[in-house]
Amino acid sequence: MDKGGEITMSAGGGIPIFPWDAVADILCCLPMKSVLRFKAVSKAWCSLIESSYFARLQLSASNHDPMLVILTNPYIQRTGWVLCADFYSLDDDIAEVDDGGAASSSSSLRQHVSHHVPLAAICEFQSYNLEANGFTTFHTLPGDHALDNTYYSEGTPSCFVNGALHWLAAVSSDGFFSEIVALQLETLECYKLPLVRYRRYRYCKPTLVVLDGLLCATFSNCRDGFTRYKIDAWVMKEYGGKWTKLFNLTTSCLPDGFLDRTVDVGRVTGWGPRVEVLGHPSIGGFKSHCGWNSVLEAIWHEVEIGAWPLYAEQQFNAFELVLGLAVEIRLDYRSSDQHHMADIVDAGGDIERSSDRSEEERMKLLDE
Amino acid sequence: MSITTENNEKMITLMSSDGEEFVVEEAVAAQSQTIKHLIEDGCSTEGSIPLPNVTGRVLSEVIQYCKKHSSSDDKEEKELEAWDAEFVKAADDHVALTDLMMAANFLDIKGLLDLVAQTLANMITGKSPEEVRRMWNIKNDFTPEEAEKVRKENQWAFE
Repeated sequence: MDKGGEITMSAGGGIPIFPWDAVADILCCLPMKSVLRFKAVSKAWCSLIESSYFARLQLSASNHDPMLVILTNPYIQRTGWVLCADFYSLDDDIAEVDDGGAASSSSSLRQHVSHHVPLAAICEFQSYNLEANGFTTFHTLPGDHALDNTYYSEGTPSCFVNGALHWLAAVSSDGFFSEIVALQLETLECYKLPLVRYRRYRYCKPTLVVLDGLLCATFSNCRDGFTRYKIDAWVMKEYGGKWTKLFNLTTSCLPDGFLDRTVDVGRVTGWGPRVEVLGHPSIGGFKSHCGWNSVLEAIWHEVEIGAWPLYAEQQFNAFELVLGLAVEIRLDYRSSDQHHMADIVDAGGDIERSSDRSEEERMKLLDE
Repeated sequence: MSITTENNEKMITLMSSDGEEFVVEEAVAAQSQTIKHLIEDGCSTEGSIPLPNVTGRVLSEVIQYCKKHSSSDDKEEKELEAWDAEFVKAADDHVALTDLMMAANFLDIKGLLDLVAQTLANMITGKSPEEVRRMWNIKNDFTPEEAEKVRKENQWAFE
């Protein structure tokens, strides 16, 4: 008979009870894939595996905290690397990270709280490769004095170029980014790359992106709204070499009279109050790049989404919307009894159609 | 009951659930945190220490392990590893290993616990949930819908 938290054993004769901590000890020795599969054994096993007790036990085996967990999913990227990479710890009271797919949500990894983690304090990296079914633990940073006094800022996503992950990093805890920290995944070496250095970029928020296989850094300054909105893009043409300025984009790069000519087809507004706009009853649809905030805000206000994902996790969000949510969202337009099923346009088709459209669509997108 | 042998080792008597008595050196028995605490609390001075959760057959295996690991402190690690491998191999099947696991859990012998847990884990790592249920006679209390849901959420783990 099952008795609450214990498993009855019929085999083995004299000792009938298999205590939970013993089950947990066994499960701890298993690769993640097996652990997740065994959630199907029984309800008790399932809740054990999902418990924070088990998560703590599983990850405390490494005894180091915080750690870097690289979650990888061969189904997403054929290279088998990098679905998301971030710093995690087992601190309680922090929301579980569940945007990393199966592995992260199921193993109850928790995202690190503090905003600036001194890299030198990270004594252990853990990488998890779903293809190999296991954690690899490696030590890189402690002996590397080049990384002393370098801070990683939570929430800045990594960027995968040239076989390495890149994060923006700061050399002081004030949070101004001035460095790029890279982790070569083949050799598991850590090294630094310089970020474009300009005094006037000091208050700009940099972003790392991949452009045609090259590392690219953009600096945007939008303090005065779109009228003085400015983006500078730099590219590292030769990896590890110098930064080359690619272009800068300001309002002046719009042709003369553009705003007047397009006044009938759309409006360029700069940063708008998106939540308020979405909540307005006159809004019929939202063509969105599918950033997660946009998606949540649109769903909250029950606005149709035309999915137009561009990069990063936006494709994920779009597919989730189309495959997972699309059928179920009912929109209640204020015209009383008329209910419409949400018509979430398939991402691919939508891009095609939209590319036939005018600049104004793109400008709308810029808004977001 | 404490006996002192000629080389001045303090001896302890352990009694299994089926009444079998084992006389071992204190240093050997104290590898079990549970027994160590019992000794510290003075339970060993008045006769044998009863271990109601462990049968004589299992206890003799446990003692075998403890003896090996107390006598070979400084011996080569490799040799000890090989011995461990033979030891769990001799336990033969998952039933015997599970008994051993539970004894190690009750007696709180970390080395043995880790060893047996790893062996059992290796045994089940590629198995299906059904096989695991059969191994340990665990009741499947999922409804078909719930089972399907768990499966779907972790689809890749079943492939």
